[in-house]
Amino acid sequence: MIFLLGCIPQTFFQTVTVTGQIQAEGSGPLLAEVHHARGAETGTLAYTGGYLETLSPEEDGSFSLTLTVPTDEGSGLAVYAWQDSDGDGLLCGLEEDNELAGAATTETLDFEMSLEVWLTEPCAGAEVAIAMALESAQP
Amino acid sequence: MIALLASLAHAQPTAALDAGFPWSQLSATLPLTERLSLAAQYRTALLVRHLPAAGLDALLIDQKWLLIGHLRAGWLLQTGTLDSSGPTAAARLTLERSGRVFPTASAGVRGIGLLSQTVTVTADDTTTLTDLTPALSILGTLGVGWQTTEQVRLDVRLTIDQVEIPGFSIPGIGAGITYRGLP
Repeated sequence: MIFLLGCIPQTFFQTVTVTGQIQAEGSGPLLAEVHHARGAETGTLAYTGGYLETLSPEEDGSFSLTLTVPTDEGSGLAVYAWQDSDGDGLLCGLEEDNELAGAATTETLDFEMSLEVWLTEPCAGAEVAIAMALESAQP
Repeated sequence: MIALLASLAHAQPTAALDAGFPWSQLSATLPLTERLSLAAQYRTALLVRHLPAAGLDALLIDQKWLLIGHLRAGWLLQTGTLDSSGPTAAARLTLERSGRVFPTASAGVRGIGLLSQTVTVTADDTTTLTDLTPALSILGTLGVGWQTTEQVRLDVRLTIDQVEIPGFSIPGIGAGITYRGLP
């Protein structure tokens, strides 16, 4: 019976408080999301990102959010952000083709984390921006 | 299990092996009275879904047609990507005709309490919440038995052993051999 009870499927979560600052030089609303830095798949199926929650940054770009992260579904943490320069709600829609985006990543998961996001990449979606941030963070 | 049951009236222990796709089963009964037996079984689907259980078999009607009731309590253990685990309880009726070659049919239901745990780690502590989600499976068989000797019986059958309502499970096929009496 103890063996059988030991086989109950488990799902693991960790609470994380992520704070930080989005550094943007342009004007317009800032939109941001929290992702896993890497998805759970490995090898040829590996991917970056993995949406967790939407952030609501202050006008000055600062943010703070406590969220519960499913640790089985990915590793690390990333904050992805972009600036909606033309206010159409679309990243690089028809009216604006150089809205800036960026991401900050960490490979580990701590209970409290601080990240600074620089918006430098035009039209980069979350997966691309997170991949670039991971690559630039490598030694 | 169907293969075991004609022997109840004769109040002798039985052992049976059923092999098929996807279900296979090892089972045994031990008579308590002429109409009531203890039963134990290990049932598996391709060695991925395991269902050990024990309970009672009761001979309800013993005429030209036999009607046998089965009650089981056990555990579900499924490994692999869709791992699951939890207690089970099943009730089933088997109808079969007396004779050397005879039709058999059974129908029943199995309730499963699917257990799962959510482990949340915070800076201060770790909490574990256990959930139990009820699930129901429809059980059924349709087959033919052949009493080859007084001790040995052979069966072939179609089997429905649903994973969970409302999902559809493709019927399985199987063949079994039952030995009745003391070795």
